[in-house]
Amino acid sequence: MFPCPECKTLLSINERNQDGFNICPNCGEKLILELFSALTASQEASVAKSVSADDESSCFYHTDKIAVQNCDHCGRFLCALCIIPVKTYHLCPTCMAKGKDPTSTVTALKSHALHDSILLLAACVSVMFGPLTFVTSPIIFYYIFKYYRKDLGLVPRMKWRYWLAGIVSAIPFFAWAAMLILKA
Amino acid sequence: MKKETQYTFVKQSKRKRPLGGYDAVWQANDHFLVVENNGYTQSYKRFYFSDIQALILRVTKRHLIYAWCFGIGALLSFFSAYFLPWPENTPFLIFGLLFTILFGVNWYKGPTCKSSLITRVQSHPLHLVRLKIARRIFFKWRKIIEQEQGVLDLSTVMEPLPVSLENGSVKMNSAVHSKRVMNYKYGGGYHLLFFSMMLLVAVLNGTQLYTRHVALSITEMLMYAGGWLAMILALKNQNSSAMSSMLKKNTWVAMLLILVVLIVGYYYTVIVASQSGSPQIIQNQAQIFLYMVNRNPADFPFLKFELIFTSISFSLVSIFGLIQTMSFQKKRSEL
Repeated sequence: MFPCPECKTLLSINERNQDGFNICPNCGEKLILELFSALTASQEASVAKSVSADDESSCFYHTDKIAVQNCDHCGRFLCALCIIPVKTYHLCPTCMAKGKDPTSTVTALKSHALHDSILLLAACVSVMFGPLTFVTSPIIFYYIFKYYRKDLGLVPRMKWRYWLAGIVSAIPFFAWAAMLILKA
Repeated sequence: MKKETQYTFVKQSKRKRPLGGYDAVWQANDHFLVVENNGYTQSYKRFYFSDIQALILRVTKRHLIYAWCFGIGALLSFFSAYFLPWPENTPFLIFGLLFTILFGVNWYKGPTCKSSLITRVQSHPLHLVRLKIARRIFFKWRKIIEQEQGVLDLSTVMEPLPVSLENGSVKMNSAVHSKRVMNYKYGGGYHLLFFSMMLLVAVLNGTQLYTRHVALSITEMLMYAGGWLAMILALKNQNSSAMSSMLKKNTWVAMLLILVVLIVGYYYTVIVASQSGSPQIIQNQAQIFLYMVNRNPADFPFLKFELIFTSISFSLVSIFGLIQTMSFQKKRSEL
């Protein structure tokens, strides 16, 4: 049995129509439910036991609870409530919040600025500033050189935006320079 | 946990956002990486195969709404083009063609759906919005997740599975989905105002079939302006409100309808004004306005059609919206 996300009516998981849909008899919602073993595993709730003897170690966060594990990153003792299993490791809530990786000093990346897109936008906008491109273009070039070889985030990304940003900021720079030289 | 740079990511699915950026899912060897790109930053969310409890897919009727909107848009455009002489009907032909292409693309992509990935602590909406693609990807993901977790034997599960539900959606981490919690804070005031103004515009359009006057047209324009403001506030507030999805959709339909009527009406006005004896009035919006106010609908078939269409469609949509809003307010007061 599984509750319908729309009306909460319990649906029989095995009763699917010929198209493979579970149809809620109450609201008529057509659903496809792919359920996995982790769903039943989560029914075993963690219960933290209280400290009964003086020689028992207690949890760093709950001093009255028995420590059953230590954090793989900071080493703090943790009770059953505080352990956060991440793959094969166990982290405390603080390390988890900080996104610490127990095997290395690398912090789990949560977000990443796309410098190539930002620089391309800056290059396009700076064109409108006219002679001010003498100031903006070198700044854009500096950042292009700074970020070009750096990692572009977790997923693969092409670098053509850097090239385009360079070209877009170079053209007005040299055009203005040529104009000033000719005028002089 | 592996050092992240050591992972090799394989792209599973990607969907571009209309205003730049994209949503994508990449597969590493032990987790899915959900990437949300807004054009200038990327945010990453990791879902380990061992933590995923369920993948849920709900069929929605959004594709039907798209089909109706594009279909009606194409019909209206071609209908308008039929009544106007060449080359004045060119914009309508272009609009008609555009709507027809959109209608065809929507039909080709097939039914729409909402998909979400559920773990023990959260429910994360996925970007898979077309049923055909979502089913294919879910089938692929099921294999990957079952390789990690093993197959769930449903025959052994006698009791209801522990996914609790709240307010019509899967119970989720409030920090992740606080926006989605439905509430009764908003009482539907902006909806009432918006639909009332729309009804008044319908009445004014009906009146203008028989008598044309500057005061009527100015009142209509003010109603449009006020209604547009009320509509923006209504659309903003209805998102987290507990009002029925029918009312929410009706507000969107009303917005589309107003948009179509305004665009088509403006194009028509400019075309008619350009055909007048003094085409220089096209450079003066006030003169165009006065020129159109003095036209008799009996002499201009499209103007007559536009007034009838606006009057009827606005009345239907606004009356339906008013009834729905009032029933929502009644339900709210009972609670």
